[in-house]
Amino acid sequence: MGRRQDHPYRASFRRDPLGWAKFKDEGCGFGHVGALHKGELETRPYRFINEYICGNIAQFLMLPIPPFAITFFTKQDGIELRNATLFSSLDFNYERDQLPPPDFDSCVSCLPDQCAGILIFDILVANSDRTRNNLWCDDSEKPTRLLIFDHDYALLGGAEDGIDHIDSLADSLGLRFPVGSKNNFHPFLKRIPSARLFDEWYNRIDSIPKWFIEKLCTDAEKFGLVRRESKRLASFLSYRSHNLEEIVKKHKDEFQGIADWSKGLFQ
Amino acid sequence: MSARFLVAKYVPDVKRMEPRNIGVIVWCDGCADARFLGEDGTPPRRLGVRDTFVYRKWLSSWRKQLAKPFVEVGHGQIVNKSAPEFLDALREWSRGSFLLVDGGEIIDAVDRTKLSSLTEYLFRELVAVDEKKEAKEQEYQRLKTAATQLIKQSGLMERPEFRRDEPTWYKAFGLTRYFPCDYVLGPMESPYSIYHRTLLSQQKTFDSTAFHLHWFRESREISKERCAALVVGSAQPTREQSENRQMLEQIATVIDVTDTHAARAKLAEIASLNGQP
Repeated sequence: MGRRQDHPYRASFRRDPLGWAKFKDEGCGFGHVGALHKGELETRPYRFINEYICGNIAQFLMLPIPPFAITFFTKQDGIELRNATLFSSLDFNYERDQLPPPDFDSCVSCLPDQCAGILIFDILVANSDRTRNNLWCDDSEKPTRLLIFDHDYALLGGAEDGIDHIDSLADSLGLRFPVGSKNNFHPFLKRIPSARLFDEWYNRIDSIPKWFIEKLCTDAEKFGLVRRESKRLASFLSYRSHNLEEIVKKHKDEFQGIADWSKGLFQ
Repeated sequence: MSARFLVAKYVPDVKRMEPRNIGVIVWCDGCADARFLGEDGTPPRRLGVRDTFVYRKWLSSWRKQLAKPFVEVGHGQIVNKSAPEFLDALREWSRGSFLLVDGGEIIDAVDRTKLSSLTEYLFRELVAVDEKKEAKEQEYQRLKTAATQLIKQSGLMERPEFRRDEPTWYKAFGLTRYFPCDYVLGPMESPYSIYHRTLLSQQKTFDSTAFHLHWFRESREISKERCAALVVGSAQPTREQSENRQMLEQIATVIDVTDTHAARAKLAEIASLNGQP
């Protein structure tokens, strides 16, 4: 019998004729999947937008992020929500029988490429809040699969930072949590063993089309971003996506596990 | 130096939040030791552990963290094993059904050379199972399951006059008494036969059952052949079990539910007597 986590996403079928019965006859039927729904929060006004943009970029890069969608909610138990747009992320821990938190050494040892991708992505979007609470693995000792989620604190920041936050990032790694703290932190920052692992990710990120970034940021205006903010955000992402390698090399000392930084042609 | 410890707990159903102790982790003067249930073999099902893979992974994960010289928590904060806060940091390794909770501090000074003895002691006090009690519980469960299956397969349950868990009466020393007989065939006023589970290894329970069966037979004038005592036989019975069985054989027809073939034959024999005096 395979481990349950081989299939992290659980589907169920409706009991009416369009659900299970239809599936049995035709191989397709309506049903449900579990999801984690995130709505807006007064203390984190950019949460939704951060999740939306980071989620789309991560999907483009084919990073291991749970499928998501923007969903709408009206009311439950007589309670209506004023702003009823939700960022809904497929629940990968359906039965809540949770595995131990990931061991970062094991993650890097077993999945170095993915870990490098996650680190580079988090630098791109200035996600300072990557911990074992928003990184899932199927086996803490010998992981074969990772999932990343929760990008509340990326891009425009967690509190009311907005443009000020991204302006303050300049060419920094963007991994300081909270923002004013001295040190950068990321579970893989000191553990990635080779700079070569970043190469493929630089290529992928560099190839993100300009229109894609601009469209994402413009679409985010539907969720409350003002035009000035969306333009600044698009410009920030565009700059970082084309200059990521230089930004990373500027902070070589932070990557304590790496010794094989490549030299440029004239160095 | 004083020692601190955590109690590892398993919660079968997080909605009900009824945690059960599954281990201890003890820290003293920069050293740590631990002991968990089910580490050498199968995770304890009696605690309701649903997924043995997940259970083993948690134990393994805790052991791995204990083997390291430090724990990394939060946003890269390092807590060395030499620090008393090590156990507080380790508590971050709790999720869902698997929890590490503060067990407290040992007031007496403890030398780190005595750490493993202390761990054993705390494990026995807080976690370990009473093995005799466990064995008795297992015998009861085994008897219940096997007896139910046997009665089902015998076809008795399909008969209209079959009843289960009925309080049946008898008279002893001029007084009317009731006991909940497991299975009864026939009308309550004059049952054809009765079948009752009897634990051979639990003396108080056995004595009570033997008393009920003996007086039931005497007062209701039911022959030994129509009164069946269902037991779990043992390849190497204890003296207590042997003596109890000997006594029971004076009172009722003893049917060993673990010997299914013989048991079915005996049940069929009893069924053939039904309606006869």
